Amino acid sequence: MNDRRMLIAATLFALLVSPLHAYNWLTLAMAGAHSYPDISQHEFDTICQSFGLNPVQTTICQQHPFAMPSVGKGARDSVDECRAQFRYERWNCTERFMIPSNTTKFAGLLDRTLNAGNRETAFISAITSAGIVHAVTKGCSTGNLTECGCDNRYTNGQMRGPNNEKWSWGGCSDNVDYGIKFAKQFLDRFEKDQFHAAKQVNHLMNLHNNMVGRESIVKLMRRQCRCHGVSGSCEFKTCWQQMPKFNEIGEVLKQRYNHFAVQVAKRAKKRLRRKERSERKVPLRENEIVFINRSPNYCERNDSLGILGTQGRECNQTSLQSDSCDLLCCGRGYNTREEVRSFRCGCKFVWCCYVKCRTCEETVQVHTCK
Amino acid sequence: MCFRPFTTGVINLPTSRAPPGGCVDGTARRAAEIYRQKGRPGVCRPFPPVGRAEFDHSGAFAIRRADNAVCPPSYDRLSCPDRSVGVRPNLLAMLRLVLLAVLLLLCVQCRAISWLAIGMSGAHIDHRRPLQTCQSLSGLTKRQVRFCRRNIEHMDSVVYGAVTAYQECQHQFQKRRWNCTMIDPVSIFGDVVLKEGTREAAFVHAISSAGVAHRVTRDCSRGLLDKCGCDQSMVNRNPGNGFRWSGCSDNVHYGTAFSRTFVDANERGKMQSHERMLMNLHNNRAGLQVLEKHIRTECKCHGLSGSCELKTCWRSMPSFREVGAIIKDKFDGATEVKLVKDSAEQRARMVRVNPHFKRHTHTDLVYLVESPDYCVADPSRGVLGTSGRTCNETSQGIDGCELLCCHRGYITKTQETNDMCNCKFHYCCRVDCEPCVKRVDIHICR
Repeated sequence: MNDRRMLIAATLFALLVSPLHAYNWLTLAMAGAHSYPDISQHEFDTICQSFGLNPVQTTICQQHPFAMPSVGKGARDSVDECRAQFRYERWNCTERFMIPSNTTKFAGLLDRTLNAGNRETAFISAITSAGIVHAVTKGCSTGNLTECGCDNRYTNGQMRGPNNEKWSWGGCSDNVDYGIKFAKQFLDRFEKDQFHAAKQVNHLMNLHNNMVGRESIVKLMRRQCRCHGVSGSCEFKTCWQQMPKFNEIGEVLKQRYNHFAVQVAKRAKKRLRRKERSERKVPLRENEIVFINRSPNYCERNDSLGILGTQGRECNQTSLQSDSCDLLCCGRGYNTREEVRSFRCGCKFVWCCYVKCRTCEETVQVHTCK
Repeated sequence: MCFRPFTTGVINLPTSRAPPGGCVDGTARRAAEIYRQKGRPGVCRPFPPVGRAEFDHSGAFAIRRADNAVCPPSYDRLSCPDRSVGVRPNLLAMLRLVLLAVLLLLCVQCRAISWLAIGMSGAHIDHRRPLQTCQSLSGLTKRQVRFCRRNIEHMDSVVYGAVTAYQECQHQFQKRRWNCTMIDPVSIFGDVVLKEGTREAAFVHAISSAGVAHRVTRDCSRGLLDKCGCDQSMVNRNPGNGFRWSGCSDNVHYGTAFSRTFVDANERGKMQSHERMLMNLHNNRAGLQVLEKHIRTECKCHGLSGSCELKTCWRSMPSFREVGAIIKDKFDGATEVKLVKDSAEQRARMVRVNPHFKRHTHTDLVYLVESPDYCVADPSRGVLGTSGRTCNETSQGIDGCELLCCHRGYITKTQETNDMCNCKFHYCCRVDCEPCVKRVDIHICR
């Protein structure tokens, strides 16, 4: 019963990472990624309760246990993408983990940033909801999920392109509608209930940013085609709808973080309003992520806010962007060390069939913030 | 004496706009006029004093403006609020002030880079009476006075080299918490802030030695000095690349050698710790190395209609702005060092504190102690604090309001300035404009 043992390990791990106070479904990213074929419903219920999920999410987990690995993958992918996008910024999508001495529990992944209500919170909300949509939809297309399959709206009919070329729908179109429906259920329902109960604006903010993340995928859906004619000619062409790669979504959302982030008023009765008085009447657009509080500068370490600070981060001496030593180190200056990096060079193809390389060494100067 | 007698408790602050060569009092203006009469471009314009720092009874110091409004220590005219800030006498603070004064008086021998004072005082250089002139210059050591006497015709260049070095320091640091306002050896601040072997002290040493060398070299090339001229060492060489050396190559070696002798004389034979001496000498040299390493070849074509049939080239120094920027880069990447006595060599050497980092070279700056954060005013360490500084609200860098004001927040004032707008050109030749009022938001650190 190898699976059983893995399950117990996964459960234990999930218990360890469950959050202290708030719900944080991102902890799913740290749970195992395998599905459990021979587990009773009762056992599923226990596992689902052991993650840091809110009541709505727990119910969904119990109803669709086989979707959970996809949700966990979505969380993992989105945190990875967030780290990749913010690699050169002062906030690099990491947070200090506090391990309190009296308990064995961790605080949840990016917990404090998620509750800060600032621009970074907005980005995480958007990218994680996009991550769920992406992973669940991929799960549908690959057949990992039983509840859904390919999008059968795009199945038949001869189409004509702009140059009078013929093509037809075929293959497996990504069922992004199912992914969106799932993400809405999983993330939005609880937030909506909470907003109706407490009327706090941060729930509205999360709802809006979740929507921005989902919509960014819909906007980037595109038709992918393949030709099947003799020697690759396009006599027969089949096309299907495909989602963008996840790093494209990350880039688009990073652009929104940089240029289309809007500060909203701290109070709201029904819907969000812009903080800028002159623009109060202008409704929020689908491509604008919203935040309430201004971000800290992330320069110095702050344990209570979970900020790591930029000390020891690698910076680029010649750059003028955010990764430049001047900006990243917040004016504190930098240290330089020399590293010998080895790489393969002078590669030659030897018949047949291998490649022969030499190992070269180069000395690079690495600058780290003081 | 490294400090002026500390009796009045009043320090004249240089302004960030006025050239720190003084030009505030009459003597400085005279010096500038003399300099101008000799065919050199006058860099000195008379500036009224913007304010002076005062120690009041509470021990806090404030800046008294010309109109007697007292404002918190700041270096910006704009930041001074119009209302007076009341100060309450405080016995404890007064005691602290007296203690400080006594400490400073005791600290007679710890002058940091006191020769820079010659740039501030705007002293008059009388070439006919070298002895009296050199002895009257403030801040020179005995060796420097002797050197001054022998090279009295170079002293104008030295003075203006010091002035440009100070201006460049202020330019390079205008966006930082420490904005180089404090090297004023005439007052106590300069010596206090540079007394510790911080990165800032390293920068000041490098830029000042480079400043003197740059100015002396430039004056050599312009023919203002009798003892030196252009660098002729290249002329006889045949490069063979379709050009010939000609024109006036900058005689950097003369300038750096001159600067080294003069500036290093400040360090030797004076009561300061051995490690400080080594650090200062290293940084002086690093500043000069920037000039030598970044000398470049400039060329001009003389062929028909600008073609390059005939090309002459010469060696030329970078502008001092570039030199300042390079030294500022070195400031950012400066190495922390400590003194280690080698038992075999019987000689102390500077080694880096953290062996994982790269060894410093001759061109890198070194420092001994970490800098303070320069956030809160601390006169005993020569720190003016950032309260009252204007900041940039939109910047992410160190000049941004959050970092510059050290998270204390800032106040925003709207300032109205008269401007010209809707300008129209009428043929010929008149421009009509409408006067309009421009509103600018100014953010000032709390």
